[in-house]
Amino acid sequence: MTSKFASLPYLGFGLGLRTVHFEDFITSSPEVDWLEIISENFLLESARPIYYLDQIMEKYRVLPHGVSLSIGSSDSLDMAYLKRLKKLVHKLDAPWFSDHLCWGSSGGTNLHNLMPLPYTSDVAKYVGDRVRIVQDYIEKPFILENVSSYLEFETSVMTEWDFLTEIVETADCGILLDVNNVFVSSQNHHFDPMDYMRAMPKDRVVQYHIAGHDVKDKYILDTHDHEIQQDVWDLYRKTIPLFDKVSLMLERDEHIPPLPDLLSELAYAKSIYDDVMKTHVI
Amino acid sequence: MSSSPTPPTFLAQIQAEITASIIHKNLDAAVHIKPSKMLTPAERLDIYADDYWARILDALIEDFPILQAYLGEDVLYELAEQYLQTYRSKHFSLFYVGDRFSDYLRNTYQKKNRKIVLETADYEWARAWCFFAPQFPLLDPSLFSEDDLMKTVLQFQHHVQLVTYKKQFRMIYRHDAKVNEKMIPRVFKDLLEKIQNGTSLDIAFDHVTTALHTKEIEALFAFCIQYGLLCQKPEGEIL
Repeated sequence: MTSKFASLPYLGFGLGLRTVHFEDFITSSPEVDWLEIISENFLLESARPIYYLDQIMEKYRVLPHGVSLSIGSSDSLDMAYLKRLKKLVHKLDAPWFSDHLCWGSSGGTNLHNLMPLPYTSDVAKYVGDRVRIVQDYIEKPFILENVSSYLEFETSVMTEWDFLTEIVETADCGILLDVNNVFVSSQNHHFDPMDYMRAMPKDRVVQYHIAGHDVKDKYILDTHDHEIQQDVWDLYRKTIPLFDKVSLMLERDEHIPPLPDLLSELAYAKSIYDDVMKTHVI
Repeated sequence: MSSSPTPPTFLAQIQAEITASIIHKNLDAAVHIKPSKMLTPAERLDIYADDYWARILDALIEDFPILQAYLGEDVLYELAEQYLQTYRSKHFSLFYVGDRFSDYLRNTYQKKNRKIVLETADYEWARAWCFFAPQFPLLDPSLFSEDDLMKTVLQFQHHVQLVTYKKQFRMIYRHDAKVNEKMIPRVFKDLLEKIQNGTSLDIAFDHVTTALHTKEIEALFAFCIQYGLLCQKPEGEIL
């Protein structure tokens, strides 16, 4: 890597920390390289989740991953939100923080969803400028995640991967490459997912997400409520040789199984990585 | 920190129209959306509308399980949807989705069972709020002389809620990250509500009637101290 992201630590294979597993992590301390939390669940200072977070932080490296930054919104940046986020990021001493390339609020109404953007240079510049402001304010490296999407805008004039690349270059931020999201969008919008992967700027991909989805009659829905499907494992396998060592996090948000099941899935992700790295020299 | 840059005009317009279409369940914003090989613009927009309503209704209903059991799922979902059309979510956290539901019901729900519906909604929101509310530094009485303690402006921790439910006056509070309840004799209601609003003990006790026995008051305050339910009134922004 040649960018500032080269100095970020490689964290290994992590899991999303969810409420049902709080006690498991506190009492049993299972072996996991790192944990990722949904930032918004820990932004109310001294609220109940903090009680658990403080104990878990003593045993694990924990990184914040947001869902409500709404970086692509035409609304002004929410300073009260950013103030809380900054406090959390520094409390965790996180090497980076992340959120999604999307918008979620308009006119003050929060849709609590990861809404896609029109892919134009105007919008890329607007979002890139906002990312730069956020990253400067939080004073930690920011990485932007691609979302799954189910619609495309008439006004879009570029591919999603060109749009994402333009933003991260404008903002000088990193990329959280969600392998499942690339797969889901590739099926919904009929493109080759490897075109997306190959277009990613190699020196900016800091982290992977990997998760399960739900296959509907006419589209694929990103639900995080299944184990990871073979198509996504295959895409992950093909993606590994394109980049340097990239930290991985396995997400499950609904129908969350017992922790040992997730640990097995995480071990499988690691075995794929080890298998690929035996035969590839990066 | 730099201020937010100005968004492209068309971006603000698209986002406003899509938001309106999702909230009001119409297809006006489909005009901005391309068809895919499998889906029309309207069907693509519908995926987001369905997702929005499922997520936000589930988040709201989750905080009112007793009301759901009492009214039935269909009735509560209908009330919740009407509420969310009026009070859109403005907070980054879904936790706050139900923060005005009790008020909404108080202003709109006029059926015969109004009293029990409002009381249940108040009770369930108090428990939900107790789960997440901030915790301020505990009050350490040993740091105060008795006189200073009586003059210090105190209040309950933010998670302490005082509600009447099933004819019982209750203090809902959090201890060791768990939500608990204590039944309180109704004769203490005025006193506790004064403290909840923030007051010094000498002013609060000014209004105490002789019906309150000193030993009962002492026991109640010992309980509040033991469980860390009292704090000094915090200054500035409450995060």
